[in-house]
Amino acid sequence: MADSGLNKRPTRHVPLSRRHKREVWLALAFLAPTLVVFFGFRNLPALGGLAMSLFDWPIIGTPKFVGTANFTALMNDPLFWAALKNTLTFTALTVPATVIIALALASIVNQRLPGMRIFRLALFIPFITSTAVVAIVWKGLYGSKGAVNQVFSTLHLPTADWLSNPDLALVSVAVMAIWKEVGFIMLILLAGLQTVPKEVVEAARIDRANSFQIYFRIVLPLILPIVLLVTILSTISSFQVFDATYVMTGGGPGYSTTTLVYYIYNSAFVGLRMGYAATIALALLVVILAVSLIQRRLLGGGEDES
Amino acid sequence: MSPNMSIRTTRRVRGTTVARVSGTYVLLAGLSLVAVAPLVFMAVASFESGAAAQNLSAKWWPTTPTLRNYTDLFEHTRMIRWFINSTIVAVVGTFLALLTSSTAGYVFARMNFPLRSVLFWSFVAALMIPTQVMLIPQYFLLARLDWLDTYQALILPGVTSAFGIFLIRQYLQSIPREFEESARVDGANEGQIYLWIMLPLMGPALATLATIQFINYWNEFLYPLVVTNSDNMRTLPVGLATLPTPSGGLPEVLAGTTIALIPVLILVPWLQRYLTGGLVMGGLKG
Repeated sequence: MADSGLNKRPTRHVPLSRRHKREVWLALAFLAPTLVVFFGFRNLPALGGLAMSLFDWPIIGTPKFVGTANFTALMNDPLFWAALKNTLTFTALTVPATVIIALALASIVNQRLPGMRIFRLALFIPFITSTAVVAIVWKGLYGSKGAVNQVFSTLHLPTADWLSNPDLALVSVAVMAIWKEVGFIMLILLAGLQTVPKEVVEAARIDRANSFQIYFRIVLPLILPIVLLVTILSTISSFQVFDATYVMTGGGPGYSTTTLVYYIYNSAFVGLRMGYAATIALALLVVILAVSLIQRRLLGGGEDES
Repeated sequence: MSPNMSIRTTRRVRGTTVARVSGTYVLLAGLSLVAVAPLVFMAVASFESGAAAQNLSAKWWPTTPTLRNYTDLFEHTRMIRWFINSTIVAVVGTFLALLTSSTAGYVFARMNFPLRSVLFWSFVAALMIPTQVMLIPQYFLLARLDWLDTYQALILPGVTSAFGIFLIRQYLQSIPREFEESARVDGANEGQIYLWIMLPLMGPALATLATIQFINYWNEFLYPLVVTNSDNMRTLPVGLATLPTPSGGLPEVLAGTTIALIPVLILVPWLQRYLTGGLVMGGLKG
Protein backbone atom coordinates (compact mmCIF):
# COMPACT_ATOMS: atom_id res chain seq x y z
CA MET A 1 0.00 0.00 0.00
CA ALA A 2 1.36 3.36 -1.03
CA ASP A 3 0.34 5.14 2.10
CA SER A 4 1.83 2.77 4.61
CA GLY A 5 4.10 4.54 7.04
CA LEU A 6 2.94 7.93 5.90
CA ASN A 7 -0.32 8.05 7.76
CA LYS A 8 -0.87 6.91 11.25
CA ARG A 9 -4.61 7.23 11.10
CA PRO A 10 -6.67 4.18 11.93
CA THR A 11 -7.96 2.59 8.75
CA ARG A 12 -11.64 3.01 8.12
CA HIS A 13 -14.20 0.32 7.47
CA VAL A 14 -14.67 1.13 3.77
CA PRO A 15 -12.87 -1.22 1.33
CA LEU A 16 -9.55 0.51 1.16
CA SER A 17 -8.05 0.30 -2.31
CA ARG A 18 -10.95 1.82 -4.23
CA ARG A 19 -11.71 4.45 -1.73
CA HIS A 20 -8.07 5.28 -1.35
CA LYS A 21 -7.51 5.70 -5.06
CA ARG A 22 -10.37 8.15 -5.19
CA GLU A 23 -8.96 10.05 -2.27
CA VAL A 24 -5.60 10.42 -4.00
CA TRP A 25 -7.26 11.95 -7.04
CA LEU A 26 -9.36 14.23 -4.88
CA ALA A 27 -6.32 15.35 -2.94
CA LEU A 28 -4.54 16.11 -6.20
CA ALA A 29 -7.47 18.11 -7.50
CA PHE A 30 -7.67 20.15 -4.30
CA LEU A 31 -3.93 20.70 -4.28
CA ALA A 32 -3.52 21.48 -7.97
CA PRO A 33 -3.74 25.29 -7.86
CA THR A 34 -1.35 25.46 -4.94
CA LEU A 35 1.11 23.07 -6.53
CA VAL A 36 1.15 24.95 -9.83
CA VAL A 37 1.80 28.34 -8.28
CA PHE A 38 4.11 27.06 -5.60
CA PHE A 39 6.34 25.07 -7.87
CA GLY A 40 6.06 27.31 -10.90
CA PHE A 41 6.50 30.59 -9.14
CA ARG A 42 8.47 29.79 -5.99
CA ASN A 43 10.39 26.54 -6.04
CA LEU A 44 11.38 26.77 -9.68
CA PRO A 45 12.62 30.36 -9.31
CA ALA A 46 14.48 29.39 -6.15
CA LEU A 47 16.32 26.71 -8.14
CA GLY A 48 16.61 29.18 -11.00
CA GLY A 49 18.43 31.52 -8.65
CA LEU A 50 20.90 28.78 -7.89
CA ALA A 51 21.46 28.19 -11.61
CA MET A 52 21.70 31.90 -12.44
CA SER A 53 24.53 32.37 -9.99
CA LEU A 54 26.67 30.24 -12.31
CA PHE A 55 26.13 32.60 -15.23
CA ASP A 56 27.20 36.01 -16.34
CA TRP A 57 23.60 37.07 -16.98
CA PRO A 58 22.94 40.51 -18.41
CA ILE A 59 19.34 41.80 -18.38
CA ILE A 60 19.29 41.76 -22.19
CA GLY A 61 21.39 39.42 -24.31
CA THR A 62 22.61 35.85 -23.90
CA PRO A 63 23.81 34.53 -20.57
CA LYS A 64 27.28 33.07 -20.47
CA PHE A 65 28.24 30.16 -18.23
CA VAL A 66 31.04 31.25 -15.91
CA GLY A 67 31.10 28.48 -13.33
CA THR A 68 32.01 29.75 -9.90
CA ALA A 69 33.38 33.08 -11.14
CA ASN A 70 30.51 35.00 -9.49
CA PHE A 71 31.32 33.44 -6.13
CA THR A 72 35.01 34.32 -6.47
CA ALA A 73 34.04 37.85 -7.44
CA LEU A 74 31.70 38.05 -4.46
CA MET A 75 34.42 37.04 -2.03
CA ASN A 76 36.68 39.75 -3.42
CA ASP A 77 34.00 42.42 -3.60
CA PRO A 78 34.54 45.05 -0.89
CA LEU A 79 30.99 46.32 -1.47
CA PHE A 80 29.55 42.91 -0.63
CA TRP A 81 31.47 42.81 2.64
CA ALA A 82 30.38 46.37 3.39
CA ALA A 83 26.76 45.42 2.71
CA LEU A 84 27.09 42.33 4.89
CA LYS A 85 28.64 44.40 7.67
CA ASN A 86 25.87 47.01 7.40
CA THR A 87 23.22 44.29 7.50
CA LEU A 88 24.78 42.66 10.56
CA THR A 89 25.16 46.04 12.25
CA PHE A 90 21.55 46.87 11.47
CA THR A 91 20.47 43.53 12.95
CA ALA A 92 22.56 44.07 16.06
CA LEU A 93 21.07 47.56 16.44
CA THR A 94 17.47 46.50 15.97
CA VAL A 95 16.84 42.93 17.16
CA PRO A 96 18.02 42.99 20.80
CA ALA A 97 16.53 46.45 21.33
CA THR A 98 13.22 45.45 19.74
CA VAL A 99 12.88 42.23 21.74
CA ILE A 100 13.88 43.81 25.07
CA ILE A 101 11.63 46.85 24.63
CA ALA A 102 8.78 44.62 23.44
CA LEU A 103 9.20 42.35 26.45
CA ALA A 104 9.08 45.33 28.79
CA LEU A 105 6.02 46.71 27.00
CA ALA A 106 4.27 43.34 27.03
CA SER A 107 4.85 43.01 30.77
CA ILE A 108 3.46 46.50 31.34
CA VAL A 109 0.33 46.09 29.22
CA ASN A 110 -0.26 42.61 30.66
CA GLN A 111 -1.43 44.21 33.92
CA ARG A 112 -5.13 44.02 34.63
CA LEU A 113 -5.89 47.69 34.58
CA PRO A 114 -8.73 49.43 32.74
CA GLY A 115 -7.81 50.93 29.37
CA MET A 116 -4.92 48.59 28.56
CA ARG A 117 -6.62 47.71 25.28
CA ILE A 118 -6.24 51.28 24.03
CA PHE A 119 -2.51 51.33 24.83
CA ARG A 120 -1.96 47.97 23.13
CA LEU A 121 -3.74 49.30 20.08
CA ALA A 122 -1.72 52.53 19.98
CA LEU A 123 1.57 50.66 20.33
CA PHE A 124 0.55 48.22 17.61
CA ILE A 125 -0.39 50.84 15.01
CA PRO A 126 3.11 51.45 13.57
CA PHE A 127 3.46 47.77 12.70
CA ILE A 128 0.58 47.63 10.23
CA THR A 129 1.80 50.63 8.24
CA SER A 130 3.74 50.10 5.04
CA THR A 131 7.47 50.50 5.68
CA ALA A 132 7.99 52.33 2.41
CA VAL A 133 5.18 54.75 3.24
CA VAL A 134 6.25 55.53 6.80
CA ALA A 135 9.85 55.78 5.63
CA ILE A 136 8.76 58.80 3.57
CA VAL A 137 7.34 60.27 6.77
CA TRP A 138 10.44 59.52 8.85
CA LYS A 139 12.65 61.04 6.19
CA GLY A 140 10.69 64.25 6.79
CA LEU A 141 10.92 63.87 10.58
CA TYR A 142 14.70 63.47 10.31
CA GLY A 143 15.01 66.57 8.08
CA SER A 144 17.25 69.42 9.24
CA LYS A 145 14.20 71.37 10.46
CA GLY A 146 12.06 68.29 11.08
CA ALA A 147 10.36 67.10 14.23
CA VAL A 148 13.35 65.13 15.58
CA ASN A 149 15.69 68.11 15.57
CA GLN A 150 12.89 70.30 16.85
CA VAL A 151 12.37 68.03 19.86
CA PHE A 152 16.13 67.70 20.41
CA SER A 153 16.68 71.45 20.45
CA THR A 154 13.73 71.95 22.80
CA LEU A 155 15.41 69.51 25.17
CA HIS A 156 18.75 71.33 24.65
CA LEU A 157 20.28 68.28 23.01
CA PRO A 158 22.59 68.60 19.99
CA THR A 159 20.79 68.45 16.64
CA ALA A 160 22.19 66.49 13.70
CA ASP A 161 21.85 65.63 10.02
CA TRP A 162 20.39 62.26 10.85
CA LEU A 163 20.29 60.76 7.38
CA SER A 164 23.12 62.56 5.61
CA ASN A 165 25.78 61.86 8.22
CA PRO A 166 27.37 58.50 7.31
CA ASP A 167 27.99 57.70 10.99
CA LEU A 168 24.37 58.29 11.94
CA ALA A 169 22.35 57.20 8.91
CA LEU A 170 22.18 53.47 9.70
CA VAL A 171 21.35 54.14 13.35
CA SER A 172 18.60 56.54 12.30
CA VAL A 173 17.07 53.94 10.01
CA ALA A 174 17.36 51.37 12.82
CA VAL A 175 15.44 53.64 15.21
CA MET A 176 12.59 53.80 12.71
CA ALA A 177 12.68 50.01 12.31
CA ILE A 178 12.44 49.52 16.09
CA TRP A 179 9.56 51.99 16.26
CA LYS A 180 7.76 50.02 13.58
CA GLU A 181 8.37 46.44 14.77
CA VAL A 182 8.16 46.69 18.52
CA GLY A 183 4.34 46.72 18.79
CA PHE A 184 4.03 43.46 16.88
CA ILE A 185 6.67 41.63 18.92
CA MET A 186 4.98 43.02 22.03
CA LEU A 187 1.67 41.42 21.02
CA ILE A 188 3.21 37.97 20.44
CA LEU A 189 5.06 38.14 23.77
CA LEU A 190 1.86 39.30 25.43
CA ALA A 191 0.08 36.21 24.09
CA GLY A 192 2.95 34.22 25.57
CA LEU A 193 2.74 35.94 28.95
CA GLN A 194 -0.95 35.16 29.09
CA THR A 195 -0.23 31.44 28.79
CA VAL A 196 1.76 31.52 32.04
CA PRO A 197 -0.47 29.72 34.54
CA LYS A 198 -1.69 32.04 37.29
CA GLU A 199 -1.37 29.24 39.84
CA VAL A 200 2.40 29.06 39.41
CA VAL A 201 2.81 32.79 40.03
CA GLU A 202 0.42 32.68 42.98
CA ALA A 203 2.27 29.75 44.50
CA ALA A 204 5.56 31.61 44.23
CA ARG A 205 4.01 34.65 45.85
CA ILE A 206 2.77 32.55 48.76
CA ASP A 207 6.34 31.26 49.09
CA ARG A 208 7.37 34.91 49.53
CA ALA A 209 9.12 35.32 46.22
CA ASN A 210 9.34 39.02 45.30
CA SER A 211 8.11 40.40 41.97
CA PHE A 212 11.65 40.54 40.63
CA GLN A 213 12.27 36.87 41.39
CA ILE A 214 8.89 35.87 40.03
CA TYR A 215 9.57 37.68 36.77
CA PHE A 216 13.12 36.51 36.14
CA ARG A 217 12.99 33.04 37.71
CA ILE A 218 9.49 31.93 36.75
CA VAL A 219 7.78 33.98 34.07
CA LEU A 220 10.76 34.55 31.80
CA PRO A 221 11.92 30.91 31.68
CA LEU A 222 8.34 29.86 30.92
CA ILE A 223 8.06 32.12 27.90
CA LEU A 224 11.62 31.58 26.69
CA PRO A 225 10.50 29.49 23.65
CA ILE A 226 8.38 32.42 22.48
CA VAL A 227 11.20 34.87 23.09
CA LEU A 228 13.36 32.63 20.91
CA LEU A 229 10.67 32.52 18.24
CA VAL A 230 10.33 36.30 18.03
CA THR A 231 14.09 36.75 18.11
CA ILE A 232 14.47 34.49 15.09
CA LEU A 233 11.51 36.08 13.31
CA SER A 234 12.80 39.58 13.81
CA THR A 235 16.37 38.60 12.90
CA ILE A 236 15.17 37.14 9.61
CA SER A 237 13.13 40.21 8.80
CA SER A 238 15.96 42.58 9.73
CA PHE A 239 18.30 40.72 7.37
CA GLN A 240 15.85 41.55 4.60
CA VAL A 241 15.77 45.29 5.25
CA PHE A 242 15.31 47.16 2.01
CA ASP A 243 12.24 49.43 1.89
CA ALA A 244 13.47 51.79 4.61
CA THR A 245 16.95 52.30 3.18
CA TYR A 246 15.65 52.59 -0.39
CA VAL A 247 13.29 55.41 0.59
CA MET A 248 15.22 57.17 3.34
CA THR A 249 18.85 57.04 2.23
CA GLY A 250 19.14 55.32 -1.15
CA GLY A 251 21.88 53.17 0.38
CA GLY A 252 23.97 56.22 1.24
CA PRO A 253 25.55 58.49 2.19
CA GLY A 254 28.43 56.73 0.46
CA TYR A 255 27.57 53.10 1.04
CA SER A 256 26.87 53.53 4.74
CA THR A 257 23.32 52.12 4.54
CA THR A 258 23.75 49.72 1.60
CA THR A 259 22.37 46.49 3.01
CA LEU A 260 22.47 43.05 1.37
CA VAL A 261 19.01 43.26 -0.18
CA TYR A 262 19.70 46.80 -1.31
CA TYR A 263 22.88 45.54 -2.96
CA ILE A 264 20.94 42.71 -4.64
CA TYR A 265 18.44 45.21 -6.01
CA ASN A 266 21.15 47.58 -7.09
CA SER A 267 23.26 44.92 -8.83
CA ALA A 268 20.25 43.52 -10.65
CA PHE A 269 18.19 46.52 -11.65
CA VAL A 270 20.70 49.35 -11.65
CA GLY A 271 23.94 47.52 -12.49
CA LEU A 272 22.00 45.01 -14.63
CA ARG A 273 24.19 42.10 -13.49
CA MET A 274 21.48 39.53 -12.86
CA GLY A 275 23.75 36.52 -12.32
CA TYR A 276 25.82 38.38 -9.78
CA ALA A 277 22.70 39.62 -8.00
CA ALA A 278 21.46 36.01 -7.79
CA THR A 279 24.80 35.10 -6.19
CA ILE A 280 24.40 37.79 -3.51
CA ALA A 281 20.86 36.51 -2.89
CA LEU A 282 22.26 33.02 -2.26
CA ALA A 283 24.78 34.48 0.16
CA LEU A 284 21.87 36.14 1.95
CA LEU A 285 20.10 32.79 2.20
CA VAL A 286 23.20 31.15 3.66
CA VAL A 287 23.65 33.97 6.19
CA ILE A 288 20.01 33.78 7.28
CA LEU A 289 20.09 30.00 7.69
CA ALA A 290 23.39 30.15 9.59
CA VAL A 291 22.23 32.87 11.96
CA SER A 292 18.90 31.15 12.69
CA LEU A 293 20.75 27.94 13.48
CA ILE A 294 23.21 29.70 15.77
CA GLN A 295 20.39 31.52 17.55
CA ARG A 296 18.51 28.29 18.03
CA ARG A 297 21.61 26.77 19.60
CA LEU A 298 22.38 29.72 21.84
CA LEU A 299 18.89 30.54 23.01
CA GLY A 300 17.28 27.15 22.61
CA GLY A 301 18.64 25.73 25.87
CA GLY A 302 15.46 26.46 27.79
CA GLU A 303 13.21 24.97 25.17
CA ASP A 304 13.22 21.41 26.46
CA GLU A 305 12.61 22.38 30.05
CA SER A 306 9.26 24.05 29.48
CA MET B 1 -9.68 32.03 34.16
CA SER B 2 -12.02 31.30 37.03
CA PRO B 3 -14.28 34.06 38.36
CA ASN B 4 -12.81 34.05 41.86
CA MET B 5 -9.39 34.62 40.31
CA SER B 6 -10.55 37.90 38.78
CA ILE B 7 -12.05 39.03 42.09
CA ARG B 8 -8.76 38.38 43.76
CA THR B 9 -6.94 40.34 41.03
CA THR B 10 -9.27 43.30 41.44
CA ARG B 11 -8.70 43.32 45.15
CA ARG B 12 -4.97 43.31 44.61
CA VAL B 13 -5.26 46.24 42.19
CA ARG B 14 -7.19 48.20 44.80
CA GLY B 15 -4.49 47.42 47.29
CA THR B 16 -1.67 48.61 45.01
CA THR B 17 -0.55 52.12 45.68
CA VAL B 18 -2.21 54.78 43.57
CA ALA B 19 1.25 56.08 42.72
CA ARG B 20 2.25 52.86 41.00
CA VAL B 21 -0.88 52.63 38.90
CA SER B 22 -0.75 56.26 37.84
CA GLY B 23 2.95 55.84 37.09
CA THR B 24 2.07 52.97 34.76
CA TYR B 25 -0.52 55.12 33.00
CA VAL B 26 1.87 58.04 32.55
CA LEU B 27 4.53 55.74 31.16
CA LEU B 28 2.11 54.05 28.78
CA ALA B 29 0.66 57.36 27.64
CA GLY B 30 4.17 58.58 26.85
CA LEU B 31 5.07 55.42 24.94
CA SER B 32 1.80 55.43 23.01
CA LEU B 33 2.48 59.04 22.11
CA VAL B 34 5.86 58.08 20.64
CA ALA B 35 4.14 55.31 18.66
CA VAL B 36 1.47 57.48 17.05
CA ALA B 37 3.07 60.96 17.04
CA PRO B 38 4.93 60.51 13.70
CA LEU B 39 1.65 59.60 12.01
CA VAL B 40 -0.18 62.52 13.60
CA PHE B 41 2.58 64.94 12.54
CA MET B 42 2.30 63.50 9.04
CA ALA B 43 -1.45 64.03 8.88
CA VAL B 44 -1.10 67.57 10.29
CA ALA B 45 1.64 68.48 7.80
CA SER B 46 -0.50 67.22 4.92
CA PHE B 47 -3.00 70.02 5.69
CA GLU B 48 -0.31 72.67 6.04
CA SER B 49 0.38 75.46 3.58
CA GLY B 50 2.94 78.17 2.94
CA ALA B 51 6.31 78.31 4.70
CA ALA B 52 5.10 76.03 7.51
CA ALA B 53 4.61 73.26 4.96
CA GLN B 54 8.27 72.89 4.07
CA ASN B 55 9.18 70.88 7.16
CA LEU B 56 7.64 67.93 8.89
CA SER B 57 7.63 69.38 12.36
CA ALA B 58 6.14 68.32 15.66
CA LYS B 59 2.73 69.94 15.48
CA TRP B 60 -0.70 68.80 16.61
CA TRP B 61 -2.68 71.23 14.49
CA PRO B 62 -1.90 72.93 11.16
CA THR B 63 -1.07 76.68 11.36
CA THR B 64 -2.82 77.51 8.12
CA PRO B 65 -5.07 74.57 7.22
CA THR B 66 -5.73 73.84 3.57
CA LEU B 67 -6.90 71.01 1.33
CA ARG B 68 -4.65 72.26 -1.44
CA ASN B 69 -2.09 69.45 -0.98
CA TYR B 70 -4.76 66.84 -1.58
CA THR B 71 -6.19 68.48 -4.67
CA ASP B 72 -2.65 69.00 -6.00
CA LEU B 73 -1.83 65.38 -5.37
CA PHE B 74 -4.83 64.12 -7.31
CA GLU B 75 -4.07 66.57 -10.10
CA HIS B 76 -0.33 65.91 -10.43
CA THR B 77 -0.06 62.19 -9.76
CA ARG B 78 -1.87 58.95 -10.55
CA MET B 79 -2.76 58.61 -6.88
CA ILE B 80 -6.32 57.42 -7.50
CA ARG B 81 -5.09 54.81 -9.95
CA TRP B 82 -2.48 53.57 -7.44
CA PHE B 83 -5.14 53.31 -4.79
CA ILE B 84 -7.35 51.29 -7.12
CA ASN B 85 -4.38 49.10 -8.12
CA SER B 86 -3.49 48.38 -4.50
CA THR B 87 -7.12 47.57 -3.73
CA ILE B 88 -7.52 45.21 -6.68
CA VAL B 89 -4.27 43.41 -5.96
CA ALA B 90 -4.93 43.09 -2.21
CA VAL B 91 -8.56 41.99 -2.53
CA VAL B 92 -8.14 39.52 -5.41
CA GLY B 93 -4.86 38.18 -4.04
CA THR B 94 -6.27 37.69 -0.56
CA PHE B 95 -9.31 35.90 -1.93
CA LEU B 96 -7.16 33.52 -4.00
CA ALA B 97 -4.85 32.88 -1.05
CA LEU B 98 -7.85 31.90 1.06
CA LEU B 99 -8.96 29.53 -1.67
CA THR B 100 -5.59 27.78 -2.12
CA SER B 101 -4.75 27.65 1.58
CA SER B 102 -8.14 26.30 2.60
CA THR B 103 -8.14 23.55 -0.02
CA ALA B 104 -4.52 22.59 0.56
CA GLY B 105 -4.84 22.83 4.34
CA TYR B 106 -7.91 20.61 4.18
CA VAL B 107 -6.08 18.04 2.09
CA PHE B 108 -3.10 17.94 4.43
CA ALA B 109 -5.29 17.71 7.51
CA ARG B 110 -7.76 15.11 6.30
CA MET B 111 -6.75 13.15 3.22
CA ASN B 112 -4.30 10.34 2.62
CA PHE B 113 -2.05 10.14 -0.36
CA PRO B 114 1.52 9.18 -1.13
CA LEU B 115 4.22 11.72 -0.27
CA ARG B 116 1.81 13.68 1.89
CA SER B 117 4.24 14.57 4.64
CA VAL B 118 7.12 15.17 2.23
CA LEU B 119 4.99 17.65 0.31
CA PHE B 120 3.72 19.33 3.45
CA TRP B 121 7.13 19.83 4.98
CA SER B 122 8.52 21.07 1.67
CA PHE B 123 5.90 23.82 1.83
CA VAL B 124 6.80 24.69 5.37
CA ALA B 125 10.51 24.66 4.60
CA ALA B 126 9.86 27.16 1.82
CA LEU B 127 8.91 29.65 4.54
CA MET B 128 12.62 29.85 5.36
CA ILE B 129 13.69 30.93 1.90
CA PRO B 130 13.77 34.71 1.71
CA THR B 131 11.69 36.03 -1.18
CA GLN B 132 14.66 38.04 -2.45
CA VAL B 133 16.33 34.78 -3.48
CA MET B 134 13.50 34.16 -5.95
CA LEU B 135 13.06 37.74 -7.05
CA ILE B 136 15.44 37.80 -9.98
CA PRO B 137 14.37 34.49 -11.57
CA GLN B 138 10.75 35.54 -11.04
CA TYR B 139 11.48 38.74 -12.90
CA PHE B 140 12.81 36.77 -15.88
CA LEU B 141 9.91 34.34 -15.75
CA LEU B 142 7.42 37.21 -15.85
CA ALA B 143 9.36 38.91 -18.65
CA ARG B 144 9.27 35.66 -20.64
CA LEU B 145 5.50 35.37 -20.13
CA ASP B 146 5.20 39.04 -21.08
CA TRP B 147 3.52 39.62 -17.73
CA LEU B 148 5.66 42.47 -16.40
CA ASP B 149 3.54 45.48 -15.53
CA THR B 150 0.30 43.49 -15.20
CA TYR B 151 -2.12 42.73 -12.39
CA GLN B 152 -1.43 39.01 -12.59
CA ALA B 153 2.26 39.67 -11.95
CA LEU B 154 1.45 41.77 -8.88
CA ILE B 155 -0.99 39.19 -7.51
CA LEU B 156 0.78 35.92 -8.32
CA PRO B 157 3.37 35.38 -5.57
CA GLY B 158 0.94 35.94 -2.68
CA VAL B 159 -1.62 33.55 -4.10
CA THR B 160 -0.14 30.59 -2.27
CA SER B 161 0.90 30.92 1.31
CA ALA B 162 2.96 28.28 3.07
CA PHE B 163 2.02 29.93 6.34
CA GLY B 164 -1.65 29.77 5.33
CA ILE B 165 -1.48 26.05 4.57
CA PHE B 166 0.26 25.41 7.86
CA LEU B 167 -2.26 27.52 9.76
CA ILE B 168 -5.34 25.86 8.25
CA ARG B 169 -3.93 22.39 8.73
CA GLN B 170 -3.12 23.05 12.38
CA TYR B 171 -6.54 24.53 12.91
CA LEU B 172 -8.43 21.64 11.29
CA GLN B 173 -6.49 19.09 13.29
CA SER B 174 -8.06 20.56 16.41
CA ILE B 175 -11.57 20.01 15.00
CA PRO B 176 -13.24 16.61 15.41
CA ARG B 177 -14.12 14.62 12.29
CA GLU B 178 -17.72 13.94 13.30
CA PHE B 179 -19.07 16.83 11.23
CA GLU B 180 -17.69 15.54 7.92
CA GLU B 181 -18.29 11.91 8.72
CA SER B 182 -21.99 12.46 9.32
CA ALA B 183 -22.31 14.50 6.13
CA ARG B 184 -20.51 11.73 4.27
CA VAL B 185 -22.95 9.21 5.65
CA ASP B 186 -25.74 11.46 4.38
CA GLY B 187 -24.24 11.13 0.90
CA ALA B 188 -22.44 14.48 0.50
CA ASN B 189 -19.50 14.43 -1.92
CA GLU B 190 -16.06 15.87 -1.11
CA GLY B 191 -16.75 19.14 -2.91
CA GLN B 192 -19.91 19.69 -0.92
CA ILE B 193 -18.18 18.75 2.31
CA TYR B 194 -15.40 21.27 1.66
CA LEU B 195 -17.80 24.04 0.68
CA TRP B 196 -20.58 23.60 3.24
CA ILE B 197 -18.86 21.98 6.20
CA MET B 198 -15.12 22.63 6.22
CA LEU B 199 -15.08 26.26 5.01
CA PRO B 200 -17.47 27.52 7.72
CA LEU B 201 -15.53 25.55 10.33
CA MET B 202 -12.29 27.25 9.26
CA GLY B 203 -13.79 30.71 9.87
CA PRO B 204 -11.42 32.07 12.52
CA ALA B 205 -8.31 30.70 10.82
CA LEU B 206 -9.42 32.16 7.49
CA ALA B 207 -10.00 35.55 9.11
CA THR B 208 -6.44 35.50 10.43
CA LEU B 209 -5.01 34.50 7.10
CA ALA B 210 -7.05 37.13 5.26
CA THR B 211 -5.73 39.77 7.63
CA ILE B 212 -2.10 38.81 7.17
CA GLN B 213 -2.41 38.40 3.42
CA PHE B 214 -4.19 41.74 3.00
CA ILE B 215 -1.55 43.67 4.97
CA ASN B 216 1.22 41.93 3.05
CA TYR B 217 -0.27 42.87 -0.28
CA TRP B 218 -1.12 46.40 0.78
CA ASN B 219 2.34 47.11 2.21
CA GLU B 220 4.57 45.11 -0.15
CA PHE B 221 7.28 47.21 -1.73
CA LEU B 222 10.31 45.51 -3.32
CA TYR B 223 8.38 43.03 -5.46
CA PRO B 224 5.91 45.51 -7.04
CA LEU B 225 8.80 47.95 -7.48
CA VAL B 226 10.59 45.37 -9.60
CA VAL B 227 7.71 43.90 -11.63
CA THR B 228 6.03 47.18 -12.60
CA ASN B 229 7.51 50.10 -14.46
CA SER B 230 4.67 52.21 -15.82
CA ASP B 231 3.08 54.90 -13.71
CA ASN B 232 -0.29 53.25 -14.35
CA MET B 233 0.59 49.92 -12.77
CA ARG B 234 2.29 51.14 -9.58
CA THR B 235 0.80 50.20 -6.24
CA LEU B 236 0.38 52.88 -3.55
CA PRO B 237 3.69 52.45 -1.67
CA VAL B 238 5.69 52.14 -4.89
CA GLY B 239 3.95 55.07 -6.55
CA LEU B 240 4.49 57.31 -3.53
CA ALA B 241 8.06 56.25 -2.83
CA THR B 242 9.20 56.71 -6.42
CA LEU B 243 7.41 60.04 -6.82
CA PRO B 244 9.84 62.66 -8.09
CA THR B 245 9.48 65.60 -5.70
CA PRO B 246 6.21 67.14 -6.87
CA SER B 247 5.72 70.85 -7.37
CA GLY B 248 3.86 71.05 -4.07
CA GLY B 249 6.85 69.50 -2.28
CA LEU B 250 6.74 67.51 0.93
CA PRO B 251 3.12 68.16 2.08
CA GLU B 252 1.79 66.85 -1.21
CA VAL B 253 3.59 63.53 -0.70
CA LEU B 254 2.40 63.47 2.91
CA ALA B 255 -1.17 63.86 1.68
CA GLY B 256 -0.53 60.66 -0.28
CA THR B 257 0.97 58.76 2.67
CA THR B 258 -1.97 59.86 4.83
CA ILE B 259 -4.42 58.41 2.31
CA ALA B 260 -2.35 55.22 2.03
CA LEU B 261 -2.58 54.65 5.78
CA ILE B 262 -6.32 55.23 6.12
CA PRO B 263 -7.51 51.69 5.14
CA VAL B 264 -5.17 49.91 7.54
CA LEU B 265 -5.89 52.38 10.33
CA ILE B 266 -9.62 51.74 9.97
CA LEU B 267 -8.99 47.99 10.16
CA VAL B 268 -6.51 48.13 13.02
CA PRO B 269 -8.60 46.84 15.97
CA TRP B 270 -9.75 43.97 13.81
CA LEU B 271 -6.24 43.35 12.50
CA GLN B 272 -4.80 43.24 15.98
CA ARG B 273 -7.31 40.67 17.13
CA TYR B 274 -6.93 38.25 14.23
CA LEU B 275 -3.22 38.72 13.75
CA THR B 276 -2.30 37.65 17.25
CA GLY B 277 -5.08 35.10 17.36
CA GLY B 278 -3.57 33.45 14.31
CA LEU B 279 0.00 33.60 15.50
CA VAL B 280 -1.00 31.94 18.70
CA MET B 281 -2.88 29.30 16.70
CA GLY B 282 -0.12 28.69 14.16
CA GLY B 283 3.09 29.44 15.96
CA LEU B 284 2.76 28.84 19.63
CA LYS B 285 0.57 25.80 19.58
CA GLY B 286 2.23 24.28 16.50
